Amino acid sequence: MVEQRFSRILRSTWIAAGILTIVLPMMWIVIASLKSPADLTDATKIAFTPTGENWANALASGLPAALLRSLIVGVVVVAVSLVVGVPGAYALARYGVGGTPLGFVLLMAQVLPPAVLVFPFLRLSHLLKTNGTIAALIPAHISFVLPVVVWLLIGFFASVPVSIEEQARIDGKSRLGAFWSVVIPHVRPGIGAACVFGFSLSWNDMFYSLILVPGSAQTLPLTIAGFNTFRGIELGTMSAAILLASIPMLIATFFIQKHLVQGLGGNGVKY
Amino acid sequence: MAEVTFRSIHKRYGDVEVVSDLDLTLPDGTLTVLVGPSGCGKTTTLRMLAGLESVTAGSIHIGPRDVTTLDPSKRDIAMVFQNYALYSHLTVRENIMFPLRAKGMGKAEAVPRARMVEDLLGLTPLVERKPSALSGGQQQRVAIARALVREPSVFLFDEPLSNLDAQLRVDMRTEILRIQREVGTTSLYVTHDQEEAMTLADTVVVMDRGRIGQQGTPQEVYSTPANVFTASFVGSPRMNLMEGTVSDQVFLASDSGLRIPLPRVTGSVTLGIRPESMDVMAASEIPEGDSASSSWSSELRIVLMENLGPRVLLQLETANRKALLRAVVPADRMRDLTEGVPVRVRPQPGQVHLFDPVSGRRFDGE
Repeated sequence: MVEQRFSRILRSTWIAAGILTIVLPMMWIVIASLKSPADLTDATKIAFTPTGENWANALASGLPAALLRSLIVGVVVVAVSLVVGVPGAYALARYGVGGTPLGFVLLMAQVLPPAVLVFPFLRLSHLLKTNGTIAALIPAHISFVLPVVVWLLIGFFASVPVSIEEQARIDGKSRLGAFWSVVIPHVRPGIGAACVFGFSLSWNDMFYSLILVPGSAQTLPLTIAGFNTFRGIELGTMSAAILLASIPMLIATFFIQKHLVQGLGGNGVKY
Repeated sequence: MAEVTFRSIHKRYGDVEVVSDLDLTLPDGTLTVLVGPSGCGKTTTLRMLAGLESVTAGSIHIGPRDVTTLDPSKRDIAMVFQNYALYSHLTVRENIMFPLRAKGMGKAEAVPRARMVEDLLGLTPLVERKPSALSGGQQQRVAIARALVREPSVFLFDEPLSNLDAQLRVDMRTEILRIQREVGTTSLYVTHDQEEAMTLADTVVVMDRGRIGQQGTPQEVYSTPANVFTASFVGSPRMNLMEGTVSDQVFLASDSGLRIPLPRVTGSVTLGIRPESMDVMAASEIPEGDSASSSWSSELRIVLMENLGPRVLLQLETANRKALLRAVVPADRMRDLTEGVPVRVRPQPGQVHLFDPVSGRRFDGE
């Protein structure tokens, strides 16, 4: 009994520590976003008069436009990745298309330093005359989002029993019909996880954004970085901007966290 | 309702021939059971009929229709898989209606038909549940209901009971038989369990390495096995099979030297005696030199006794430990028989099976 209670206390402490590690910085940013520039100079100051000034500044800056651009890029990237990645992951899981070499390539795509691909993407944007626009970002983001989407979905497809597809075919569906009506619903959690995870990768990307679309078409992370001006860091405005950028992701992640864990850790990849 | 015919079916995976020259007819309205050890080609045969495996050579007909290359969805069949293959994202009712909806039937027409089979299988209180909230037996019923609802020309069962526990397996077996009799749909049932095959089948087809070993009613297959394979596969406990030669009306087992009187035969044979058609008596009870003693075998010893309830399974061994025989005797006979006791055995009249030791085929007239 004593041991049991001890282990429970230990576990609670451990969890509390984990929560604090994550929540404290967030809280600090929330507080910073409500402080006036004068109050910001003292990071430990808890008692202050909240101000909406930073939020107003953030909203009045290029931030909303950048947010919209990031959203467009993220949605297009995820959509393309799903259209290609869902059938791709299915083929890999079911038929072992490409075998181990293709699996290796998928893994490589995730560990490849993005710098290696910068020149090809710059050249591509010139050829397509998309340089300087967010359209230049889309192929670049797909290059790292698509492998992740496929990687994540392989495990989900592999866990769908073949007999369910066969049953659907016997029950009167075509091959494609069985895929749509039976296989896809079974991997829906995985597709949800892939959406959110892929979107967050695109949403948070700064590297390609910095090189491919510096100027006026910059995306959210660059805009946030822009609050580090030559006059110093606009800490309050930046805090408000960071919150604006991260809250949507936090909410989305909260809703799919169970599937995310299942997708990333629960399913081994089978070839 | 339709008769199903397999005509000289071959199935090859690369160099491996899984099914060779299979000719088989499933008479209209009957239940045929394919039985055999794993790898004998029984499941492949079923899957070829379902359209889930291609046919290397030969043709398959359902009634007058040649379905050899037809897509599974167009064969008008229903199948129950070993793992039930329920659609876990749909409720029980939606699962049952799936084949009807796939054919384009409207909800208004599909629901009453689903209700009918739900009723038949006692699923009515469960229709709103998801498959994950059902027990194994209930899942099995849903799978059967889904097969029933479309009123197909052929039912296929792929080891449907092997995931259930022993008691439930026996209950579901009865239920499948009852439903098959009631709807009278031509059915093909695959199992590795010979007992299941014997209890369910109108016709048992014993398969061995891609070929039909024997085909017949359960009674025929049991009482006149056509070859050594069928003899050893059908029946539990397994038939005793010994190779040896018969001379002077005595069978002499070649490895153990066991002698069993055997009139009216000569030459080398494989002798088969079912454990349940063997008399066993303590050697001390048989008077030496008596005329009656000439019908008994040479001596064996009881090495193990397994209680089967009303009967006891005896493992008998020769003195040189080279032959092990199984015999089943009524439990009340066990007073004078215990482990270690020397005994002699005698096949019951007409219960001897003789096979050609080379081809394995049954000798005619025995």
